[in-house]
Amino acid sequence: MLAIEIENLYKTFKGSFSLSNVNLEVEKGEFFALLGPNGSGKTTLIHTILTILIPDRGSVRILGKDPFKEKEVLQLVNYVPAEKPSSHLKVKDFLNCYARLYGASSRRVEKLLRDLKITYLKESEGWMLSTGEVSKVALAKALLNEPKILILDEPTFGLDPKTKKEIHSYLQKLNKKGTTIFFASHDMVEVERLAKRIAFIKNGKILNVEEKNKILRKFKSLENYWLRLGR
Amino acid sequence: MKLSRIKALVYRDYLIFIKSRWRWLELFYFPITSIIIWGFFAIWTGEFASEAGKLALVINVFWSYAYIVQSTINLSINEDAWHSEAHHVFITGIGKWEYLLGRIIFSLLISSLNLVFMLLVVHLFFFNIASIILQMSVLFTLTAFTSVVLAIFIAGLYFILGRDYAWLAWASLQFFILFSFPLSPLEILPYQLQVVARAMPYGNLFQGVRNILLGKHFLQEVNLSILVAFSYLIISIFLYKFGFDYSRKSGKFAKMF
Repeated sequence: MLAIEIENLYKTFKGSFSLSNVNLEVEKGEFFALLGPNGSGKTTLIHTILTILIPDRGSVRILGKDPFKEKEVLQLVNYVPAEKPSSHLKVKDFLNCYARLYGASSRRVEKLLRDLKITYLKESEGWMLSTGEVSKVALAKALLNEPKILILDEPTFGLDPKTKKEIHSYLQKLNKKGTTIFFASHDMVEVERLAKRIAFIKNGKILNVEEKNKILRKFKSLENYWLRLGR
Repeated sequence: MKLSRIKALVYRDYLIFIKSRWRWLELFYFPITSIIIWGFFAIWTGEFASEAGKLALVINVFWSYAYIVQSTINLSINEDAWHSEAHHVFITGIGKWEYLLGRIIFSLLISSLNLVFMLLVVHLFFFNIASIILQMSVLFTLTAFTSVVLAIFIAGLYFILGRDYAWLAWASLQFFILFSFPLSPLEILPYQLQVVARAMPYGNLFQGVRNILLGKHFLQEVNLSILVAFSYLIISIFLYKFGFDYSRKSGKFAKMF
């Protein structure tokens, strides 16, 4: 069974295509990157997978189920958006609220705080956190339900190299344990370090889906690949 | 619909509310201070216009209560938009009705507290309301119901119109109150305005409150209020469902939250 299956997906905004005949399959346990320029449709595609957007045509299946009809399947997915939540709650309260929504325990919150090495932030309020800390808290929130599929939109945008590396190695650990990871990024280093397969999207169309190693053999670098497809 | 998810939302609203000090001002400071102002007015006017000041005072309690019930629901939704959090809430698999119901329950809990405080101030400082509390309870229940209905209507509009229309949460009620003519008996209005007032969510309610205070019958007003509130409920449920789906189709939902 596929983790994510997208068929003939179309979405228009004010008459122009934001997604056009998108077909994509993400295997269970894959580390999959969605690459593409600004405004290419990456976030629109993610929002559609998560049912935040309703497509004009086409279908989305998560672990074989239609999330628009069988909402419960969303309990197996989680998401780290590009725009992180800016809650004024204390970190522990923020996470406990979502733990309750997912039916997770406060022990799970404690474990994630420890695993992500942010226990010291427990009593801090959202507005006091640095960008890197907000990203880690957003990641902790996204792991509360022990998702089978984790979707991330620009997961490390604006972070310093050390924090980036910490988040990368945590994501790699998760993927090794079997979590399917689907992420959108502009960051070539990030994509090269993490992804096993890459889809390139431009003007709402998937132009290419290929294994990273094959792309690197053909184009020498992801930057060349980007420049060739993105021009 | 899962009770655990609704309880989780109520808990979340409670924590956010505790942190939002400006909402404490809205809940306690403004209503209580305005009741004290109208209370002294009632004492003074009692000397020459017997019930007029008392009427203004009690209507003010209803007006404040209506505002708190409605605005608490809509402001909770606004807070999700302001803090970019609704994405996170909805991808937990929560449904649109669970989302709404959580907000309604929290609002009713917090506004009950507000109502108790307002009535205590009226009772302790201005006049004994024990003799009319039963009749008033009926109208307070109806006020709560009507305000919930109005909040659903406003939430639907907010989803359709988008983030720039957050002000609907605190501005809409004033429009409905204006045409409900809270302080004047409907009989003194031209016929057309009487019809408008009767069709407003609070028009019959305020007429009922005035009737109770003047020792008149109020059952007809109760019946009319229920009829009007249910009519608005049908429209509001449709608008909320339509607005929610429309905002997910148009992309406004993704932009809002």
